[in-house]
Amino acid sequence: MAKILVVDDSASIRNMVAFTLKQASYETVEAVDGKDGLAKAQKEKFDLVITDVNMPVMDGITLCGNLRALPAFRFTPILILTTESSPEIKQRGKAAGATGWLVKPFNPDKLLATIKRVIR
Amino acid sequence: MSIDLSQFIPTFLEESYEGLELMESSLLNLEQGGEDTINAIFRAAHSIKGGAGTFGFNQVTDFTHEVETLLDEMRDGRRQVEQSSVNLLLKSVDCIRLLIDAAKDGQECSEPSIEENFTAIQALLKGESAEPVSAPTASEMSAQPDETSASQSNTWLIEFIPSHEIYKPAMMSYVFLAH
Repeated sequence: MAKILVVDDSASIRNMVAFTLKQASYETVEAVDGKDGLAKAQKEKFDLVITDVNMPVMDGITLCGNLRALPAFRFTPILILTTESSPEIKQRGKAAGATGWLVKPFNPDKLLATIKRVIR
Repeated sequence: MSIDLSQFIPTFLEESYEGLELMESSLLNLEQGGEDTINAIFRAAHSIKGGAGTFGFNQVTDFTHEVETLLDEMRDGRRQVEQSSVNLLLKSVDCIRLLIDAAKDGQECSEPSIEENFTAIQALLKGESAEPVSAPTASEMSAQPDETSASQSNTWLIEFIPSHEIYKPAMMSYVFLAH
């Protein structure tokens, strides 16, 4: 089954996302900020990355750019899950290599539907 | 598939009360703190708003949204950090705490202080914006009109050189278009 990296500084959101993914039989690894996520991505391969934007140490957009610089993550789908929805920040995400954008409040069904569209 | 997330409410509550404590202590030390401090306060409010939305705590979401907007203007330099705003934010932390207390018991909060603070923040956001309203500079005029205010004080240099692989499977532009 596909393995998914979940990056969010909020434990409640991270736990909810991971729980939702496990219910749908995906394997998950959690990271608490962009730097932690990048370190985990450098150790193993993932089929999908789901990241928040606003995080301490390294934000989700910077993480996205850094992941795209890794050969193993050049084509890996990256979904951004955030409350931010301004065109300006979406544009930044897109330019940094994000595949898709999910606006909170977190909705499990919408997340799973989007994952099905980006994972093959 | 229908997934019940209510088991995560206790984690959200614990995180939110911690966030409110962090907001309070950081607001009291804002002058000494600098950029990291205001960013941490913003993130705490942002997380509370995000989680509250998931659990349908709409009163918490709506109130915290206004607080977050004010903090956003302060953190990216559009608004000067003034003692009056800090006082208002400190009172707002108390309000959010009351709202969360009510929400966890499945109730609406009808304390008059909530409405008073909400109105005060909205008035501050509407009336006293530090953003120049007229006479944009030449550099502002050259930017996209709808992005000017958001991007001018948070400058990003994004170098984006599309490669031949741009249209390969991971790049699904329709996913952006759908939201």
